[in-house]
Parts: sequence; structure tokens; C-alpha cells
Amino acid sequence: MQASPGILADALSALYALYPGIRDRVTNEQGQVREHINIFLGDEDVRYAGGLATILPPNSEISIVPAVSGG
Amino acid sequence: MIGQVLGHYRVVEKIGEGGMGVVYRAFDETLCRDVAIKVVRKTARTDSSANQNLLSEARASSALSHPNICTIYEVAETDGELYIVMELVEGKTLRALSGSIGVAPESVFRYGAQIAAALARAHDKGIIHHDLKSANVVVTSSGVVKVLDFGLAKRAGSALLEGPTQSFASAQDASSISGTLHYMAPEILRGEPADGRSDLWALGIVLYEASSGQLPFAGRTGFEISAAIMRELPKPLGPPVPPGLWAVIQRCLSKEPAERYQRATEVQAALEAIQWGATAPQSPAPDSGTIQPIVLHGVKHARIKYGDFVLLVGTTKGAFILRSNTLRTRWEVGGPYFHGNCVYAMAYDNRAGRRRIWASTANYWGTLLRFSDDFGKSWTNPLEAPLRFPADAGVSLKNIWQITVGRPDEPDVLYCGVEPAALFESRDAGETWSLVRGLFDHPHRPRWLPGNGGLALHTVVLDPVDHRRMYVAISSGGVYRTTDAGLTWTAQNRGIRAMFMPNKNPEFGQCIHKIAMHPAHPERLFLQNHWGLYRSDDYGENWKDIANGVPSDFGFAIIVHPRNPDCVYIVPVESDQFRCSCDGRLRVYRTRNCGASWEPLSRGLPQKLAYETVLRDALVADSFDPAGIYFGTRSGQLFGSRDEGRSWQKILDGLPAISCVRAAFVEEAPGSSASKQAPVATRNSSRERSSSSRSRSPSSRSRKKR
Repeated sequence: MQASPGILADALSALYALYPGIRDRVTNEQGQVREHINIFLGDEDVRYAGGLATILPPNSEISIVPAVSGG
Repeated sequence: MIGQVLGHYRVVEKIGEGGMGVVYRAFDETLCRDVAIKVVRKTARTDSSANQNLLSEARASSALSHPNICTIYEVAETDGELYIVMELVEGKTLRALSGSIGVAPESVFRYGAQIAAALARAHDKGIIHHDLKSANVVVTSSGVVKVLDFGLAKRAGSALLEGPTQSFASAQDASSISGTLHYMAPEILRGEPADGRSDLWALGIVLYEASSGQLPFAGRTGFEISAAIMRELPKPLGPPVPPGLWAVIQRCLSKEPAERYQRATEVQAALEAIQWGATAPQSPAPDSGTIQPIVLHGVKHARIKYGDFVLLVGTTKGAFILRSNTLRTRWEVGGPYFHGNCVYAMAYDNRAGRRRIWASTANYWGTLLRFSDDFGKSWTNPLEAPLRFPADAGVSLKNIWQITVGRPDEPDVLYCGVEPAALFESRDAGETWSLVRGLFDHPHRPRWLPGNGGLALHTVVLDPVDHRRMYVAISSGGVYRTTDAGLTWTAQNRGIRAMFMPNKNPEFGQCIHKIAMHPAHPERLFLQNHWGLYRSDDYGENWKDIANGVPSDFGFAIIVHPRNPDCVYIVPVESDQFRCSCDGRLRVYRTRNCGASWEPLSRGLPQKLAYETVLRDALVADSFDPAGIYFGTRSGQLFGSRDEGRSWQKILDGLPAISCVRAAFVEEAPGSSASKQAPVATRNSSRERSSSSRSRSPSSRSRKKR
């Protein structure tokens, strides 16, 4: 994406604007990221960084991945 | 005023007028620069404390330094006049630029991103604008946006709050006072405190206005405008407004603050992304209500036509649709639909000429309610979950446990029972759903405890005659009944044990597994409990133990025979510890005397090493005569009986764990007389149950061979 979001929440908002169906898949109606969805900044789980307020360095790669505890 | 000197400012000319006062161009004789001075109208000030508030607010705002914020230099009082000295911004207001058709989308992006940036800076410093409107946004000749009057509106007096009750004698009045009303967020009209998100609402209005030249919420009186803001949806903006921009505007204009963007930087990022990124979004319909059908490729479909009999089987890893004819001997299997998803609930709606299959699909990405009108070839694929808790509920949807089709004479009504325990209702055939608050706000709610599968409202039973009465069952909360169409609910558990509580007969909190009712006897209910089998003969007022001669009174499923209201089927389970059939024998039990005695039905069912569980929604009867009974096990086996349970055949095995089974007869086209009757093979005999007649259903004909 070619935007310059400062924090993760901004990047997600930009993503939701492009693909409106994604918002409800990633977060529930209270705005919380769903329990078994992990968001990674590079290799790091943002849970252990700043959550949705994690600051994004330039050229960040964000991955949204369901948990391995599946099935 | 012209030519006057205020402090070290010489007033040159009037340049405008607003709700607070008149704005002049002035010359700063000390710093030799042009400035703008707003002289605050005396009527806008109520007393000297208001002055003090205005001063302190302006002081805070003067600390805002940002290219898109009109800087405040000074606020002072001279000779009783209160004035605000600020940066002189020359350009056109966004109101003037928008006119009646709006500006080009590229401009909307550019201006919108700058306004959002201004809001972001102010919100960071704890300052809410309170009065963002297109008249407060000035665009300079170089395209730079300046937002005026940060934070000042709140303290300028009560003129703003009179808006809703005023009507407007002239356009002048309207623009000075209602100009603000049009931008007011619903929560402010409700008297709640404003926060940054109220500014984002106003931004949504500004973007709408800039895109179209129209205000989304309008009216001739303050009252009409307020009503529109609170209740109406804005008229959608189509081309040339790009769908992405409309999506951003819609989200800013969510009535619930929690559903809007939460921060101005999010709006800014969204606008910038659309402006730079993206080629138009792939999914063509950005508004959350639009349903895009999904066709599941690579799924085997059963070819279903009128006159067929269908079993809907929901499992923990997808849904299956089985098709047979009225003989129900050979089955064609379609599915798995939504493979990998938990399909806890399914339902068939054949009211009003529909042939609609409902299913809930759950995975890590959430729980969605979907339907198919073509027997599974295509399904709805909502952008947003149709069932969602409102922001103030404080909980989010975990699962849909039950989909209940409403009464035949209310063909557009449906109910869903969900986890965490709550009831949702739709009155428009499932387009929109609302939380039944009478139950959600019940004072018992905080004390309901989760059962083994979670805190779930899993059963909905409707009184067919009295439309105001219905029952729900909650694990582990108990049976609740309403007699006023859902406004109020009462716990109806007298006589039902809770073995896991210190008081074995509490008012509520029992872990009810299922209740069942026959429409011919709405006063009579049967109940399978977490330990206990009960019957009520008085609409749930009192429950009587009917565990007479069953190997275990633990179990999940319970159903009433379609035509015999005294006849009930259960599948006993050994215990809560073991949760499998007793003694390794899979047996259905039946009573034909309302529970006075029970008899096992096991012919054709495994009687050795059969440790099976039938979950609460996995037992169903069809409406044939004789009745067919079907059940699915947690080990993925599906059994059926065509002779009311006397003998059983295995229909299918190897499925994933079966959570629900539903039966449906696919009627002829609406209007045909055949479609109204129960599917008896000859179609002109109806309710006789004697099996000696030759004109019985084909299955009994084949039995006569012995």
C-alpha cells in the first residue's frame, strides 16, 4: 500500500477503506481484534509491541494470520 | 468599528460574520502584519465566567500550531469588547466552493486529508473542535486548507443548543445557528459529552457536503434536522464519488461513535490510501448492508427439486445437504458447504413462497449468518456480520446457536439464539437484526454461568397461538418466558434441579439443554435438563419430573412427534462426566404418554461399543405420516427411521461431528394446493395413523411384503 500511516490502526483503516469486508473479519463489533487472529509487524506479534498503536517504520510488512491453534 | 484601534490592532474592514460575532481584517501595528479579528457578539456571552471560559479555551487553542489550523494569536478584552486575534486566512470557504454540486473527488480527498490532519493535531492536544463545518474550513488559493475556530464554540454560549427547538425565519438565521445543527453528532443531540469522534462525525458531514453540495441530514425545522440525524441514513453517493470515498464518509457517519473511525489519523490514512493507492476496490459495494453472493466452487451439489425431501446437516467442519424423495431410502449428498467452518445452526424457511436455507458459519474470522435460495449453489456473503451487538452491550458475538423461523402468519420474522446468551430478532426476513434488549438487560444476566459449551441461548420456542408468548433456554441460565412479545421476561424454572449448585432448586441458573412443544398444546412443554427430564402443563409455571424408566436422565436432544403431542423422543446420555450413550448402546427412547413411561428404540442401531453423543439440535422429525425421525452423532454418523423410531437405518457416516440436523419437504410452487398439506404419499388422506391401508406411504407398502 502506498500510504504513510503512522501506527498500525491507521494502516488497518486504510486497508478497510480499500476492502470494506475485511474490517469485520479482523475485528469484532467492539473494535477488538478477534481472539484467534494474530497481526505481525515483520516477524513480531504486535501483541507484544504496542497492539493497534504499534508505530510503523517505513516499508513495514504487516501480516494478518489466524492462529495455529486451529481445528 | 472600522478604523477603531483594539489594543495594537487597527481594524480595517469587515470580512465576514458568524455565529459568534463579526470578523474583521485588521493591521497589527506592532508586528506589521495583517490579522483577522473576531469580535465576540455580546449576546453570545452570558456572563463574565463565560468570558473566562472563552479566554482559557482560546489560550489552549492558541497552542495549536499546524499548517492546517488557523492560528490564534491573542484573545483580549478592551472596553467591554471581547476579541480573538487570529491568522488571516484568505481564500474561499469549503461551503462556498461546494455550492450545490460539490467539488471534484480529487479535491475532496485533498481537503479531507488536511482537515483530518488538523483534527488529529488538535485531538492530540486534548482539544475538540466542537463546531466543524464547511463554513469553518477555508481553502487558500494554493489549495492549503485552514480550519478555523478550534475549541471556541463550546464556550461561546448556549445559542448552539437552542438549535433543535428553533425554526428559521430566514436563510441568515439558518446559516448562523442551524449551520451548526446540521453537523451535530447524534450523541451530542442526546446530551452526551462530545469527544474526538463527534468531530469525526462532523468531518463526515463536511466530506458529504463537499462531495455532493448537499447536506446529508436536512429539514425545515430544528426538530426535523435533529430527527434526521438521529434516525435516518444518508442518501448514498454514487458516481462520480468513488466507492472508497463513500465508504469513508459512511463510516464517519455511523450513528454509534464506537463504529466510526476512532482517530482522525485513521480517516486521514484512509483518504490518502484511496487517493494514492488504490485503484478502485475490487468488491463493488462498499456499504455494509449490501450482500454479495458467494458461489462455492468444487462443492458437490445434490440436485434438488420440488417434491424432494431434504436433510440439512450442520457439522463442526461444514454443512451438508442431503436429498431424497418421499421414500427416503436413497440419499444424494451435497457439500461440504463452508468447509472448515463450524455450522452450529441451520434452518429452512418455506414461508411466503421461500425456499431458503439459513446457516451460521463460524471460524476465527467471526460468525456470519447466511442464506441460500438455491439449495446451496450460492450463499450470501455479508461484508459485515448481520448479527452484531451494539457498542453499549460491551460484548461481541461468539456464536449463533439457533436459527428459529417465526410463526407461519408472521412470515418475515426470525429469531437467533446466540452466545453470549442473547436473543436477536428480525422482522424483515433477515435483512436486519436487533438485540432483544428486554432479555439482554434482565437483572439475572450477570449471574448466568457458562455451560460446558459456553454461555449460550440455544433454544427458542414460540407459542403458535399467543404471539406475545415465547420461551428461550439458556445454558446455564434457565428457561425464560415472555408474555409481552419480548419486552419483559421471567425465569420459569420451578421444579427444575440444578445439581451443580448449592441450592438444588434455584429460581434460575439451571443448565437447560432443550425444550420442546407441540403446537396443538402450547401449554405443555417438555424439557431435557443437565440431569433431569421434565414436563410443564402450565406454560412453564411448574415443572414435573418425568424421568420414569430411562437409563439416564442426562441428555441433550428432545423432540415432540409432529402429530402426536403426547409422544416425545430423547437420546439418553450416561452422565455429564462421560457424555456418551449408556452401556455402549445407542438407543433412542420414546414416551407416548407424556413421560409416564419410556421405551427404548434400538432396532438397527449399534448396541455394542457404541459410545455416541447426540447433541441438542441433532435430533429431528419430519412431517410425513408415519413420521420419520433422524439424528446425527458427534462421531459423524447420521441415522434415520421411517417408521416413527421402530427401526433405524444408517444414512451416512464419516461426517465431521454433527451439531444440527433439520428436515424439510420441498413444496411445489406457491399457490398449489399440494404445498399446504403435510407430505403424505397419497396427498388426499391426511391424519390417519393406521398402517393397514394400501394407500399409505410407499415405505409401509414395502414393509407389507413380510
